[in-house]
Amino acid sequence: MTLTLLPANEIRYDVGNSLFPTGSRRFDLTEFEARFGSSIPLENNADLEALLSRIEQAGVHGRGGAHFPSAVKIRSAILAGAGGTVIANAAEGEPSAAKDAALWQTNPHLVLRGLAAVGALTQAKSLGVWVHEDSYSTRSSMAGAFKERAAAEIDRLPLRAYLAPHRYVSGEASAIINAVQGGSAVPKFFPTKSRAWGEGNAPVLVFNSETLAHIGLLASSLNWAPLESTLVTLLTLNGRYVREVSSDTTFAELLEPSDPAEHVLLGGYGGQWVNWQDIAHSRVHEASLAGQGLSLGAGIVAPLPNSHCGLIETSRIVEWMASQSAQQCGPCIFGLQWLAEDIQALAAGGRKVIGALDRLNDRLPQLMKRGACSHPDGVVRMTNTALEVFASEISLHRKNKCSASSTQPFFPTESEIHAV
Amino acid sequence: MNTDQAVSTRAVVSSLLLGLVFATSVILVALSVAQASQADTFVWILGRSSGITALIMLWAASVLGLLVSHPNSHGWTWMQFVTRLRLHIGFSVFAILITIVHLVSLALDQFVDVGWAGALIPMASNWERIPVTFGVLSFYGMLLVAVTASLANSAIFRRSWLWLHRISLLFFVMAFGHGMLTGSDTDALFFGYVIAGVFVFILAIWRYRKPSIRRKRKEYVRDTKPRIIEESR
Amino acid sequence: MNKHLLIDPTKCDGVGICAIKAPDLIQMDVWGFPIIESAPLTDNTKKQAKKALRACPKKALLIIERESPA
Repeated sequence: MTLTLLPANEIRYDVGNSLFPTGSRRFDLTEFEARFGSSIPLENNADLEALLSRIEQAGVHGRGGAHFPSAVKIRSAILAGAGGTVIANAAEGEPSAAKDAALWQTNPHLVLRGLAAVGALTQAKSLGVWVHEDSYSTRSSMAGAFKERAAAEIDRLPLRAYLAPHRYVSGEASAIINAVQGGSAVPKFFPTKSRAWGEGNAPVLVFNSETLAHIGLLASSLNWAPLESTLVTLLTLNGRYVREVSSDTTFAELLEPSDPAEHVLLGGYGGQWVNWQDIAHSRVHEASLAGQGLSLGAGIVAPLPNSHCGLIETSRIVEWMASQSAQQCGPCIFGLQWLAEDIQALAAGGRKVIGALDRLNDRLPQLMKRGACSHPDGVVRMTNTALEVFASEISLHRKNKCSASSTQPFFPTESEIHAV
Repeated sequence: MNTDQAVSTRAVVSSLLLGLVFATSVILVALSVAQASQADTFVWILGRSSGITALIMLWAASVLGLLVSHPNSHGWTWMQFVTRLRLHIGFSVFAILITIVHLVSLALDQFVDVGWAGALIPMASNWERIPVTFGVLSFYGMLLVAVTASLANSAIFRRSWLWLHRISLLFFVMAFGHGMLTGSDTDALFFGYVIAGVFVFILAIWRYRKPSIRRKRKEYVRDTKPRIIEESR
Repeated sequence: MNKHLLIDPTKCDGVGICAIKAPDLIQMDVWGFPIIESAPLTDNTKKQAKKALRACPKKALLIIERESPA
């Protein structure tokens, strides 16, 4: 495995596996087709059914965090009817996430092939890529790929770029559906899942970029074996690495021994804090983690450096997440604001800790499943695990002590992935 | 949280508070009536005491209303939001009921020349025409605010009920003016009126100073429309 | 298929009237926003649900039919 540094960019791509065949440079259409072949024919029902069953057999699932089986999603969209829009979600709201950006900046054609394939499967009327308007690197790579596809006349369906405001929740699926159906990019309440795909309205189907890359592999004519791999964004003091990890890799193999950590934030700001010991020998593989009650979420693994205090970092994350509420739902507006204050009280330490803990125990359960999107749920989940994992740190803070040696913030609260 | 217990505690607290309010008002009326003890001024005394009680109820309803509708109201945990709302509704209903007592007793009263017409129709009273008209208008205003609020879900009042609720501060001012100008006890109660009035005024300024959730929502939504670029075909 | 009372939290302004109309179905959280019973409606709670639905000035409540665990 080689490691390449992208100039003026925080992401490093760990190259050597198939999703990123070129390293830090964008694979253009010629290079892409030389390596992956052309798209398999998707002309008649037999072609389509064959692809769909390959997706099913390969067990492709959503890589945006929900891990829903893609074949099931595509089938219910087919039932919902033709004429919809399929969207590739390239907007990573979380400042620590970088895998989709890495994918778009190196191998956009693979994602677009997956997007076109899902478009064909669901008889969509248009395709779209949802991207933050200030994700300039991603956008320029995407625009290059769009041009090459247009010149080669690959797409039969119109392909659009949707430039979304850069907010945490604007990359959330219901916000995208809302906006593509003509509304604003804010989460929308859907009483049932299938309705989210457009009952009455033209269906809108949102896929994570990595998911589409896997579907793109299955839709390529060079016979690629289904990949059992995951893209992981590894957050370290030296920056973010995006790695493609095969499913038999353990966390101990993933992390560098030079970064000893006792605690790991798994799945990002809406994920879970875990003790390093509990996952060191677990595989970086969603299905096997699910057995431990854990999830990779959108593939973020952040080992907390021992020089940093998990409680203070949690407090910073919660404060930032509270500021990212779309101001739609009362429990999110008031609940997260309160949560940020009480976690802040824990981090500040002293006498207020006990009262804050009591309130947290009482109120955290009240915040679950209360919003139109799962933004508050994620914050509550992350906070709950922080309270468990950092129990001894909380007692220290109560005595006005702290185990940290560094006062530098570790977790980013602004996205820096769109340099260049 | 034991939810069943929470419900019953809440119900007990709100009903106790409402009961207290009701009892206070009845005692106020009864005391004044007993003090009068002369049969020929009974109706007049009843009219005056119910008027004062109605004003106090209306004041409490307005204060609670402002405390319920303040943009940060949902963040306050010193009193359950629903308890505040129940109290607001309770005070408002009592204010209207006691105003009806006030209105009927003064329509029947022989001591001043108001009569049914004066008590129900603006500018029809021979006694203190303008101040009585304030009272009459304020009564109709209160009724309107209450009826529209209870029909707030209907197609007709869905938009207007909240506006009428906001305008209701005007009815509060009218009612206060009515009380101060007609009450023969205004001299004694002058500072009470002033303090209570200024209090509501300050509360209202405080309440309307900050944008509501709805306004925040609109602002957020306004700048979250995506730009769509057709890049290939 | 069972009937459930649901709330669209993006429409709810926390007016509070639903908790008064449907005390067996709707609890308020500490911020005064409704937490709705997730169990299917019974004959008794159905009446309350309809009352709350009719009272909500934001039209944020809805009753839908669906498989219970959803």
